[in-house]
Amino acid sequence: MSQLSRYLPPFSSDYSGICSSLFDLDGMVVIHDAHCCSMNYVNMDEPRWYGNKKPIFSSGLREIDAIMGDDDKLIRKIIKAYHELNPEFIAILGSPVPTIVGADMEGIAQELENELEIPVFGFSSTGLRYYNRGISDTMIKLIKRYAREGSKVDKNVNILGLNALDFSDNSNADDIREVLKSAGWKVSCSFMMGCSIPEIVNSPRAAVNVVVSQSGMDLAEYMEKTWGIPYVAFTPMGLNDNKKIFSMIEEACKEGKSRVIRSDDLYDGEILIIGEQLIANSIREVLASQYGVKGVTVGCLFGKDKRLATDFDIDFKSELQIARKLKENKYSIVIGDPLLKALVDKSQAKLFALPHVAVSSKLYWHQYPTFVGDEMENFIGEVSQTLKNILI
Amino acid sequence: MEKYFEESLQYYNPSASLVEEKAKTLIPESHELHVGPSACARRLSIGAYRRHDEDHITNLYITEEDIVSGSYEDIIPDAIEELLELLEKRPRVIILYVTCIDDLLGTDHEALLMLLKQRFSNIKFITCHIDPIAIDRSIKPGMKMQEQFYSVLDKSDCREKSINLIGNKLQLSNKSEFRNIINSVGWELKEMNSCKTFDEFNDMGKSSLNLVVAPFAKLAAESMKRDLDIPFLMTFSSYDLDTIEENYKKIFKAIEIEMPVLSDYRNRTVKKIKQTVEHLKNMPLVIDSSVIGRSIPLARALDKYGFNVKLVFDGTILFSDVEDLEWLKENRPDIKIADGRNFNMMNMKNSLGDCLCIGFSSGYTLEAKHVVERLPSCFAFGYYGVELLMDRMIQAYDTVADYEKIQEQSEAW
Repeated sequence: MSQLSRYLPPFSSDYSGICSSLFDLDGMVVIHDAHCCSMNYVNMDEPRWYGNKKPIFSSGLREIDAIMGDDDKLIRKIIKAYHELNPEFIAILGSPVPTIVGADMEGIAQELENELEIPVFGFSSTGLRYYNRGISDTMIKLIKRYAREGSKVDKNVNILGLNALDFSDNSNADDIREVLKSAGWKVSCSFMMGCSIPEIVNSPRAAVNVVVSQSGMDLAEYMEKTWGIPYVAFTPMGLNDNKKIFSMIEEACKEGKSRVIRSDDLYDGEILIIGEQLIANSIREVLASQYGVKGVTVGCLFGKDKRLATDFDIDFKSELQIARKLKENKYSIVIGDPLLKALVDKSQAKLFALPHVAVSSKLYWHQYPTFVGDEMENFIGEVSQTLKNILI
Repeated sequence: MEKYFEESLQYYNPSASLVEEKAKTLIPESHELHVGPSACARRLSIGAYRRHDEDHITNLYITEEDIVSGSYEDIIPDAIEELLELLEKRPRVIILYVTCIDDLLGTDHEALLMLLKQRFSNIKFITCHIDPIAIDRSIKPGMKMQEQFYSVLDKSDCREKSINLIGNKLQLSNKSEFRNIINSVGWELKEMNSCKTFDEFNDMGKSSLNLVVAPFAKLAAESMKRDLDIPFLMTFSSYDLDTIEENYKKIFKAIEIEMPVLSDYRNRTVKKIKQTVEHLKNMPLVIDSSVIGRSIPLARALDKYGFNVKLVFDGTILFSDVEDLEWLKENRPDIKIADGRNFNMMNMKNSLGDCLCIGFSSGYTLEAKHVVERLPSCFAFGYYGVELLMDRMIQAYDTVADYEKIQEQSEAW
């Protein structure tokens, strides 16, 4: 498999996913890196950084420390900062260099936890995996550490997988919460935007989980296995028939059975949506259920989760694979990040640009779409209309 | 050199890389291949898009398997073959950028480069390290990179009446007196960033003198002396009028031409400085390195002119700035010099009240009323640089900083 990327930038990595997930909590986050990894997160992967002062730091790793395996220096720096900042917890994240030298992030975390007597999480992030893995790992770690089982509360729902790398910092997070509230649901915990530790503690009391991005799937499965909470996987989108969604949530609650919202009779047709798998799925669902457009394939940029995929969805593992797929000229329309334009332009397809922070970063994060409401409805309607025109 | 600041966790505010993103040294007709974990090149790639420079950059991602195998460089030759098929025009130079992990993997770059030169005979290859992990070395990562850039120049027997500027990330401003002065005596200035073709760049190898205008280019100049037989002068860009005058004297002595009378430039600049000092009415000044890289020498110069310098933020103290740092500590202990990356920056409060910050970074941190957030995207060598800064300080003093607006504008920088 080619690992060359000529037209697309590197996507957000696992450590950015972890930092992004922990952004709203009162913890202190330390990326064990020299400089670049932290700058990647701060400057490219966190649309909320400007105007917020969050204790997310670089360890200032140096060559000699890496070679000598001098973890004590890192520990001393963290302890000093802890005593000045008094965070509720600490998270230490790996990066490529600690990966190479085999730094034991979990071990360092344990040592710090013994010393400081507060929760300290060690993440073996590598910078070689995508952000969604980081978000997923973070949510699992937090819930394992904090969640307490309690009696179920009717009409309480958790949102899993809400994050600024998929949803940016516009009104998307609020809109999604509002959709659920408007149907009479109370949001227990909104993993991981706008949530708090007490909400994580009580999250097992929810009757159902709504998964809104691929990164929420592992947590959904974990909560289902551990506390019997069913999940519904769907990102609220456009002016979709929310009644249908709510009825499926109700059904999931009643039957205790999880489900992925997906129309029947989908096929590998004229439209290719390249991006985050569940968001792409949900756009496809609106196209199918609202507009009767069922020939839609999802091209997963950040790994293909079989729990969410159709048989014909594609796991794009390289830029070359995307280029070759597009050159087949099978698709009339491609929906995806604006930076895909260079690749799409080499085919006969038309690109409908849908910015994604994890791809194009700050280049487009101020033009981010609002998923719920007119904007996305109009976008999807335009896609549908364009397809009709093409097919005529 | 880091002994000057206590080791600590490091904090980055939103502006930290804005200048760096904008300023980029480019070899004409070159192509960059960034080889490393996908995470490492994200900032650089997005930065290239922001500069509309993305056509010059390609990434080659290495996987955990490549790292475990211990020979990730083996994938590079085939990747270059593939890259050349994708490029519309064959580059004259391919720059292989490697990251921090390369320092630990012990890659044999000489063997790799030899292999590449054999396989792609009409392309020059160099490797550059983007390895902040090595910042403690006496030869800093940026210094080695500059050396590599100029290593592609061919040695020439002929010597032209031209002077190279080495180390400026931005083109010399047309408004700088420097070019006019040099041209007036029949000499020419050359700089990498103004070269349109590789051949034009390669002609820098025919110049008679190198001027090291930034400390991190010292190594490049030393290597060019050794390999190309071009002598060099250390004439770092400065905001100190005496240093500027001294730089000009050194240059004209080196090219063995009588120095033109420059007192008009100096007198005009002195007048501008006086005007600015009066205009600012003793307002406290804070200086960081996000607008003018060498904040310590700048602080000393502004203090000398009578400005009320109160606080200086820096990160890594370069060899070139140690003397000024020691002088300030000895003679102006009231001027606080702080590590601009210390974690405490996050919660730093403004104890100065109304102040003027030179650098968006300190302005944002202190929520300062006045800020010189950036200078025009040019290299302002000589007296013009001082005048330009004075203009911007007056503008900043007359304006209350709107940080939201600055941030919005910065998206287009």
